[in-house]
Amino acid sequence: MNKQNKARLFSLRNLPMDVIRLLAAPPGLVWLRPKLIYTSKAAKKRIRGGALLISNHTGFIDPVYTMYAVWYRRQYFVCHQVLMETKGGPLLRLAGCCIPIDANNFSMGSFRKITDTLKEGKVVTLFPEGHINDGSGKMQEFKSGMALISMQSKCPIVPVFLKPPKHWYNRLRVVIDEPVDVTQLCGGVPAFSQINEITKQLQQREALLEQFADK
Amino acid sequence: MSVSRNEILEKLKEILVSADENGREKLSAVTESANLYTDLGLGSVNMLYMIIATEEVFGIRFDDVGMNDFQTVGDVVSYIEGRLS
Repeated sequence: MNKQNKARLFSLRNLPMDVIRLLAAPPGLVWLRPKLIYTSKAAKKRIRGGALLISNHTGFIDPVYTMYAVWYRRQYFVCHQVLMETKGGPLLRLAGCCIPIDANNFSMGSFRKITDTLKEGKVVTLFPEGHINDGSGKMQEFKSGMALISMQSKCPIVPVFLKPPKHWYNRLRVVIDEPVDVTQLCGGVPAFSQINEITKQLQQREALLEQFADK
Repeated sequence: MSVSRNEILEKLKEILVSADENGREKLSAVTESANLYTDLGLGSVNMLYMIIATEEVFGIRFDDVGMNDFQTVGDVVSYIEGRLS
């Protein structure tokens, strides 16, 4: 991995996002009592520089949950463009934490925005299922764009598994795996088949994290 | 840089063949009228891959182009030709 730029600790541009995080964190901590579960010592190491967080998508509030996974870093979320046109759109725009994409016609501009954000040393979170899963709790098939994003930005992928509380008295469980260097998985310039293979491997890894959440 | 449509097409074929060794035979015979999705069976990620590789090979940028903006190989060739001129 190339040495990544360090994200700035404070900047005026990040102020709205930081204020929202500060205001939302205490009630969230009290209500959800998130339990962070690391799969290994390497997973427990703090993420430095750019990283692509991938997670299962169980509901609208998942971005809040993933914030607890890497609570010490600002996160930027890849989201559908339509979300920005909802009532919450102005708040999301103000927070500046969203990278909207057109899922029906993914553009090179969006791709560049995501990779540039990672190259700047920031943490980007995306839900590779592409949408909230069907409610059965079963993960949908991952889309393989994340592998290309990781390769192009030369940033590792950090798999995260979310197990939201079923009842108000349950705790939120967040499983964090160690970073995966995608370029090592394919060894140089990948072929189409390798990209699909990497995606499968990441999905299997993500599925394994569920066992940690149940422990 | 002046590159003919044929040269662009050949380079595109090289990119596609190097990315999909299994489809070498099919991809080598590609013409400009071939549909990227139905004839070549490319998905949006394959398209993204092709565009990234094309950018590197030709030294151009696909400015805010959507994956669905291209339907045929000819569309991609025309875009590259336009950017190079």
